[in-house]
Amino acid sequence: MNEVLAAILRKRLAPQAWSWVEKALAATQPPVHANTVLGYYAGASRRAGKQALQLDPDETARVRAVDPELEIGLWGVDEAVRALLLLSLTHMPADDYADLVLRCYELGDSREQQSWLRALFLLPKPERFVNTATDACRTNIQPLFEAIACENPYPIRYFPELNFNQMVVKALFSRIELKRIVGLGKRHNSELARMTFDYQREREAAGRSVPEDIWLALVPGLPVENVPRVLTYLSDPSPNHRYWLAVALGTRMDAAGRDALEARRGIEPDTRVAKAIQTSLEALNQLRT
Amino acid sequence: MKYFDPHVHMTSRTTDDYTAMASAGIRVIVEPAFWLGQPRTEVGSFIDYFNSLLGWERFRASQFGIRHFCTLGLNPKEANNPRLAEGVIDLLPRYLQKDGVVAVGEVGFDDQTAAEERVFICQVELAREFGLPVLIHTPHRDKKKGTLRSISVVRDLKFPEERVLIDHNNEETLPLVLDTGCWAGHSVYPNTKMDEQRMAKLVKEYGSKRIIVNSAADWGVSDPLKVPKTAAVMREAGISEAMIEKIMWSNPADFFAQSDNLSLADIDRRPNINQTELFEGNSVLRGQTPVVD
Repeated sequence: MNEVLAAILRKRLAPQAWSWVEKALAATQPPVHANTVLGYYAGASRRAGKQALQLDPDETARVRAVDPELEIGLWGVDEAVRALLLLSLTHMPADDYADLVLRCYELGDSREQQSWLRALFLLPKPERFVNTATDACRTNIQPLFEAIACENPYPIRYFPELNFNQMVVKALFSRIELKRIVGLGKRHNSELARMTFDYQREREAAGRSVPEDIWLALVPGLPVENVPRVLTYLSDPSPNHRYWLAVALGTRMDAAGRDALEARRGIEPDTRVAKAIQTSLEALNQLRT
Repeated sequence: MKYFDPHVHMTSRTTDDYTAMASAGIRVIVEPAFWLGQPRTEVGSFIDYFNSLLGWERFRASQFGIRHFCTLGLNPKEANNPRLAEGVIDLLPRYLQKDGVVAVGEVGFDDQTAAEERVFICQVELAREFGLPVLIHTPHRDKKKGTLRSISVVRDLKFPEERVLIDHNNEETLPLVLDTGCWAGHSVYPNTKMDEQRMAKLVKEYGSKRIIVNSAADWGVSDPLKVPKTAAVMREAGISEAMIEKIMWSNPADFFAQSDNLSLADIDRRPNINQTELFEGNSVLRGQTPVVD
């Protein structure tokens, strides 16, 4: 990954900024002075800028080759520099390394912390930092929360179920689109369904709207007796509700959902929703055979 | 009418807010210790925070004719940091004995982790030891389950329910709390939590017994006048003055008076304002003429 990041950065940085990065990288080699590294880690935004990487197809392919779930196109140039610094320190003794990496987070401003959370998944033995990552979800600073929750494969692989579920519900509270959570479909569980179903009812009791994509988290693990409580949204005036519910119903085998999709198929006026209904019904038929 | 806002984070508010609150009739406030919007990393930050609630903030309030009390405790979010949790729990026995501390709080659940539960239990035990009521924060996410778990903690510890205030209720949780002996707080917010109209509707349905209303104003989008504003909406909705006064004054006063640190006779009198006073050499004034009653 170091070479991939270095190549991406060199293409985007002016010679002066790149020579600063080279100096920073030299400081990661033995003997490592923690304060010097922390200084470079902090300075990356001012020296390298914050513009988004926006990879070309070739670069995307190289990143995907490292890990198919890795998505760094939205990272800032500074964030890529910081990731490269952390990845260049891995020669350090394990405890010293973990210590310095943690200090990069703890002494960081929110942009530095955001960069750290995005890079976390790439570090050796990333599971040792799980407490810091789950703690980061408690932030009120939305970009920081998004750095761990969105386009990041770390939670799906390392978060305990409780923390993963809390993160998904917080994303709903923060109006973050659930499709940005990597691997949500693989991690659904009955507790998440219960939490989001309770949230649906709480919002309805308060006379407030329900997030339109809540169904992605709610429907897959919902007990069959509660399915009728959500099916009304298949005829909701908002096409987004109908769309996400149709998509989510494609994941469960019981008859109630399938029947509701069948019934809706003939009368759905919105083409995007109609297509989602069709796709879900096909998926269900395939599962059946 | 005089008002009591039993949950407002004044350290995040301005002197304009104090002026507006005083002229709207707010005479007494309780400021619960909470988190600062981002995690603290040292126990020392809590010492300074607790000291500022007990010192400078109480003085600031007094300069506008408002009596300021506080609740102290470790909030559930930061209970997840084991290093902090241990240190703050060690501090609390000293701080809970100070003048003007009317409860342990806000404590309770956020993510509903095992660490949060341990720290919560520990603080309920401290409340028992120091003869204080408990102010329980209920979580934003998974609120109903969080409320039920909070009630279980109180019951398992056999802590007297009439000395517990469970806060931030909504339509789903209020009946659960009223089924116990605990008091039920409601935070009236501009967009989330509870609003004035829904609050009036709940009072019409459930009455005024053990019902409490607060602004929970803090550094977020919030409004420190929500207590008088909710009273106005209740009045328009035909709720009686007696009932409004019970919810907006007597209930919070009776609840926190259980601490023996808030005297009903004292709070009935508006404190005299003397803006010539200083706190450790500091004044809230910036060249204005001091107001003296």
